This record gives sequence, C-alpha cells and structure tokens, in this order.
Amino acid sequence: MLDFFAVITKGGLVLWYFQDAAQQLKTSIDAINALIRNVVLQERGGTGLYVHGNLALKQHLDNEFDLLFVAVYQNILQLSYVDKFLSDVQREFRERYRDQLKQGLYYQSFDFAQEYGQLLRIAEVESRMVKEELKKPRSFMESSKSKKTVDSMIKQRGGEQPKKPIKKKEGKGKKKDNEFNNNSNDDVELNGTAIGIDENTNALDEETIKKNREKLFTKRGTPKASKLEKTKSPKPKGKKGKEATVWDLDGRDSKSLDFSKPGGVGGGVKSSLRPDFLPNPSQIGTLSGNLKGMDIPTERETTDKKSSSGGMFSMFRGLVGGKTLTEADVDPVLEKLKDHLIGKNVASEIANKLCHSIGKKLEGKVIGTFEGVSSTVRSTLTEALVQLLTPKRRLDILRDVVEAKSSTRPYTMAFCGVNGVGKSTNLAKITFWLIENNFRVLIAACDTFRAGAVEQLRTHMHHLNALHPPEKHGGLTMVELFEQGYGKDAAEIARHAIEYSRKNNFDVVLIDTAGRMQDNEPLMRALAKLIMVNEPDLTLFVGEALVGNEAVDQLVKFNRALADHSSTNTPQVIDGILLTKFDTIDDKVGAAISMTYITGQPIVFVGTGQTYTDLRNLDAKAVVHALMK
Amino acid sequence: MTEEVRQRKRISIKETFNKYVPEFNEENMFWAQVLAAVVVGLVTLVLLWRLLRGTSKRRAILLMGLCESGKTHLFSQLCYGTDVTSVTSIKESVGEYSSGKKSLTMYDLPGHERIRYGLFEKVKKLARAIIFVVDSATIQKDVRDVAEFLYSTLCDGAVQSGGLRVLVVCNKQDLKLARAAALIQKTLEKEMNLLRVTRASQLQSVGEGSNNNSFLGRQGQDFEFSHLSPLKVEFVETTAKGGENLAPVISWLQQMA
Repeated sequence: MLDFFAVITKGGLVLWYFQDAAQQLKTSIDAINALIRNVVLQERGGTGLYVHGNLALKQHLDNEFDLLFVAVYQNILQLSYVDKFLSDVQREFRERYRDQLKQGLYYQSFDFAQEYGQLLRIAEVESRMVKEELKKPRSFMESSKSKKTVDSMIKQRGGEQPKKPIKKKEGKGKKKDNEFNNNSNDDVELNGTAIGIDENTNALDEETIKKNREKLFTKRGTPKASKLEKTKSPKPKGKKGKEATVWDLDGRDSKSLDFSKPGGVGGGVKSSLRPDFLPNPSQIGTLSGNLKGMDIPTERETTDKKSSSGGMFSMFRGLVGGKTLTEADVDPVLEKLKDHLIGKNVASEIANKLCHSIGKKLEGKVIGTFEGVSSTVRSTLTEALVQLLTPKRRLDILRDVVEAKSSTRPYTMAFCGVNGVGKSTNLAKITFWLIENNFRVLIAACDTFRAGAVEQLRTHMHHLNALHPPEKHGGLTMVELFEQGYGKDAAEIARHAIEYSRKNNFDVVLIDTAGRMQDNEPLMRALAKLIMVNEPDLTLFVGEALVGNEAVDQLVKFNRALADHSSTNTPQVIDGILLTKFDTIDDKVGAAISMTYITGQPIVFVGTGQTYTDLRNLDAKAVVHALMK
Repeated sequence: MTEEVRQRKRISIKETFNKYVPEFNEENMFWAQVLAAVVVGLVTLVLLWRLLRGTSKRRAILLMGLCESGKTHLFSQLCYGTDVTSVTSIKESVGEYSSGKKSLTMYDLPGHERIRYGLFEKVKKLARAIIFVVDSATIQKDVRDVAEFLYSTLCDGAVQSGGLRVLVVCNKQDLKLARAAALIQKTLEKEMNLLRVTRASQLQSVGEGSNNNSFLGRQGQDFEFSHLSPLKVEFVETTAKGGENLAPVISWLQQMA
C-alpha cells in the first residue's frame, strides 16, 4: 500500500528505497524534495502529515545517525499504521547498519528489502486486525453475549428477571473483557474451539454477576424491605454476602445514611463503601496488564540505549561523555525557552510549534561532555530561528524592477493589512527609496473608503516631488498619484492605474488599499478581487511589530481569503511582509518570528520611524540576538 | 600549572636519581632542573606550533550552488565514484578526495536559501577553493538566483582575503537544453553587471552589522570575471551523471592538491 519508502541521510543521499511498480521514481523524489523544503527546513517538523499533490508523506527524523525516513502513499488511502511502521523500520535499520552508520560509510549497498517486506507485512496485518476489531460487527454465533442470556435463562429460574438490568449495568466492563479475550482467541485459533471456552466464561460470568449484584446492593444500602429480601435470596447460593450487610441494622439506617455528621457511624459506612471506590482484586490485575502495554515505548528506549553502548566505538564515546538526549532531558529546557519566547511577544501557538519541532530535532542526538543540555537546546533554537528568518528566495526588488522595465511593463506592489498599521506611511517610504534609485513611481489610491486617505497620499506626493524635483531627473515628475475619488471599486482603480503607468512610462506602481479587519468578509472579498484582477508582482502584508497572538489570526485569515476568493487554480497569496513600528518595541521582536512562521514568506522591509528614510532590511541575526537575549 | 608540573618532575627525577645514583650533589641537581624546564618548554612549543599550523592550513574544497544543480551527485562521483539518487540536503556532507599522495577535504553544502549561508559561514575559513555548480539546462530561467548566490559568495570577506580559486562547473551537459560554458559565463557576467548596481543601493539593515555589498569588478567597466584579480574564476563543462565527463574537474582538483 505504500508507494515509496526511502531512507535518506541529512546530507541528501538516498541510502535505500523501496518503490512500488506503479510509481515513478521522479515523482516520489520531487515529493520528498517538497517535503524537505516545506516541512523540515521550515521548522514544521512536529506536524506529521504533508500532502503534495495527491501524495501523502510522513517523515521520521533520526538525529543520532542523521537519517530521515520517509513514507509516501496515496492521500486517499489514509493509512493508520505509517507512524508505527516508520519507527519500526527506523529501529530495524539502525540495528542492522549500526556500525556502518556510525562510521559514515554511506557508499555501499544497503540491502534492506527483506526486512522491509517483513515489517510491512506485519504492520499491514496488525492494522487489518485492528480495523476488523473496530469495524466488523460480530456475528450472532460469535458473540458470547447472546449465549449467556440464553444460558442464564435456562439455568436460573423465575424471580431472576429484575436482576437482568443490573447485570447489564454492572457486569459490562467485565463482560467486555471476556468477550475481547474470546474474540482474539477466535481470530487466532479456529472458530470451533470457541464453544468450549464459552462454557468457561459462562461459569465465570455467573460468579461475577453475583458479585456485582451484591456490590450494587451494598452500595445502594437502602433499608427498604423489598430490597432486603432480594439481598437475602442470593445468600443461600453460598456467597459472602453477610459481611456486606453487617451495618444494615434496624433503627440505625437513617443515621448511617446521614453523612452530615463527621465521625460516629461514618467509619462503618466508609469501610463498607470502600470496595466500590477501590477496584476489586480482579480489576487490579487487568489494570496492571494495560499499563504494561503502555510501558512498551519506554522499555524500548532503555533497551536501545543499552544496545547502543555495545560496540567498540561507543566505548570511547562512553569515556568521553556522549549523552543521548531524550524527550525528558529536553522538555524542561524547551518549556523555559517557550516562556521566554512568549515573553518576547512571539505568538504562543507559534512558540509551541517551534519548541515542539526543536524537540523532535534534538531527540536522540548525542552531545559531548562539555555541552550542557540547555546550551545545546538554546543553540539549536537560535540556529533554527536564524534559519526561519532567512528568506527562502531571492529578495532583490530593484533587480526585479529592472527586469520588469526591460519587458516594458511596470512592477506592481500591493499593500494590504488591518487598519492603522501604517500602510500609507510605509508606502511613502518605499516610494522615496525607489525614487532615490531613479525609478518613476505611480501611487494608486485604492483606499476609497476612509475619509482623507486620498488627500494623505497627495500630500506625500507633493513632499516627495519637492524632495526630488523634476529638474534633477531630466524634467520627469518622479512620483504621481492616480486617484478616482471615493466610493469606487478598488480593483478597477488599480487596473486603470496600471494601464496609465504603462502608457506614461512609470517603472513601479504601488497600490494602497483600505485597511480591513480580517473578519470582514465583504472587504476581504474585495481585496481578493483586487489581487486576482491585477496580479501584482509583490503582495505585501503590512503588519505592526506590536502585534502578539493576533498576528496568527490576521495572517492566516488574509491568506485564506486570498486563496478562497480567487477563481484561479494557483491563487496569489501574500508573498512578503512589511513589518512596521519596529522602533517602538525595543527587544520584543517576536512578531517577526510569528509572521514568518505562519506564511513562510520573508520580511521584505522594516519600518523603523516616522521619516522617509526610516526603512530598513531585516537582519536575521540581529533580530534573533535580541530575541534570545 | 607549569610550576606544578616542574615541581613534580623535580621530585620524580630526584627520586629516580637517588635510586640509581646514590651520590647526588647540588650541582647535578641544578642542571637536572634546567634540563627538565627546557624539555617542558620545547614540548609546549611543538604542540602549539602543530595546533596553529593545523588550523591555518586551508585544505577544504566547498561544493556550492542552487538546489538541484547536482552538488551531491558530483560530490559522490568525486569522492566515491558512484552514481547516487539524492534529495534536497539538510546538512553538509564531508568526504576525502585523494589524488596521489595528497588529499583534500570536500564539503558538499546544501543549496537551499534558508541554510546555505549558515553552513558556509562555518566552513569558509577552511576553504582553499570553491566549486560552484550550475545547472546548464535551467540557467536561463534561474540566472538571477545563480548570479545572486555567486555574487554574495564572491563578495564574502573570507573568500576575498583568501584569494580563493573558484571553478564554475556547468553541470548536466547531457541534457538537450544545456548551454555551453562560454555562453553561461557571458550570461552571468551580464547579470552580475546589473546586480552590483542594485546590490549597492540596497536598504540598510536593522542591526548594526554592515551590509555585505562590496562592489566587484572595475569601476566604469562592464563586469568580467577576469577583473576579480585576487580571485580566479574558471568555467568548465561536465556531466556528473555516469562520471565519464569529469576530467576537467579532476585535473583542476589535482592542481589544488
């Protein structure tokens, strides 16, 4: 059912792969490349499934040997065993090629097909069994329940009717256990043996039913005569019902039921109630069985450690120190760092995900004696944050403007964001920067909503033209405003502006949109239309650095709105971020992390003040330094 | 600490001497002390010298380039002589390339934008030369990205001061749309001519750190790779797949060793 399975080193080498006949190698490799670029390199490691086209991918990192295990399958299949299978294969592969991996001998044939086949078969059989147990209703013959009722009806005579509902209620847990045992036996062995077992279970069930019945009565502890008679009736059947009814003496009933007074008869009541609060001996047994099952992973870890301390090289490693990091080591440190990040204004959701991903990245890593756990975690986080803030594509707007110019079209940039984050102000700053670089700019006033928006841009235009008079630039006005008043459709204005700039040889068109809250459906629809119609080269999301948890909501909803309201297959979403008011936040620079994490897009500009020159690039290292301080 | 060592040495020498040479006078004692001091000093010097020499010697060759240009493949061919299936690298791989007696350490650096500079920072001090791998088939489309990466690499302080040799490997020559090395060189030169202008007028960054936007080439002249005087940039054509067409790279590496 798995289309493709690969064992990869972090250096990018495919050590071994299994390939289904129907699948092409190139599609799988492409999918894995996309997985690495979009998940592993973006610190989204904790999330599990990644979907690429109609393929679903799951990965598992092995940090001790720097390996990556990837399973690829059709997305519609929804395989449930992949996670377990990945870790099984990981264990088996490590076990088998421990020495080679330790010495970095990657260039040899890893013949793993047989083990892989075995493991896959086991995993598939197990998953099928689980599925059957969950899904398939038992046939009447299989279910011991039906037989039991018939048997009990035959063996036990009249006057037993009222007990049935009691039996159902109380004996449920017990019965289920028995049934489960039966079924698993049935599955493994032949169905024919089931009858013999059923007889046993019937006998067992009778006993438990009686016990439970008694328990119920003692719990109720009602002094009513009718009930007392009933409790007497099972007595002759040879059960230790006497002890349970000791407290049930005449005249003391009401007192024994009176819980308002401390002490007194209360002690007696408590002792008689105890069996109901504590599990009875048989239940203790089953509980411990369950716990054992839960303990398996931890047990496995310890055995892993033991086996890893075999071999000649690990002896030296043991001497030098070499500590394998486990989740338990890393967690407290990560928890502290998470609080630190949140304190620095990183959205809590993002801090959570980041720390989770770092935890995954560090699990199983071997550290030397002189490295502390906390310093290792810290440095890994620092590295990851720098990586996150480093743009994942080339960011040279000037070069792109030149490119657009050479193909005789204007370079368009659209600004969007919520109200009052500084869209128009930073648009003016960017205009200034572009003029300084000798590009002619047209500002399209597409905020047709807020009073004074157009006038504000006109004022900026006058100022900028005064700073860069036409005489300096060969008689050309460097910046112009394109406006059509208020109340018009923004998308239309932008379209006209682009046309106008094409005719009049402008190099850049900056589209200023109205500020809108991310929940405002009609306005978001209008924005999506503007983006779709005009297809700007760069769609900038303007966000203020002051924002905390809200950043997540804003960006997610803006992105979704642009994607949802677009009629094309490949909708244009936000592809850059302008971070404003950066001068107001001191070292609480977390918003930068939140925003880049959500979109995966780079921070193109940073606004750092009120004047036209207060526009900067983001320096990832400086920001991360401020963040980790 | 050295005092302590000397103290210990003195005692031990005295004891051994007392054992074997019972008549041991003051004068001998003095010379023994001097001898011990000289020996300890010499050992320290030798150790220090070896340590310094070891780090200062640049013996690494860095394999750089965009994603999917064939770095890992070329790396495997050069170091191990095998064809491999590879995916996007997350970490660098290190291998030995030996030609005759001498050997070089090869570093295959990941090409992804997010991590390429981080890992480059780590190993650039060790670099003796750089192999810059270019996908000849997609160069037309990716020329801006390739030029930007090459430009920032060449601008780097460590590369400039070391006067490294750079080999631009035009890989994947077996593909139909592959371009010749000379053409690729011309395209890159043209692109970098533009790039150095736009790079110079880049915005300042938020931190205090200086921008890495030094001007490459000669002022007033179109950019040419031959103008980068301490650096030496060469272009060769190869096909890493199959490993038959690797001769130019291997001969260049032998010059390096």
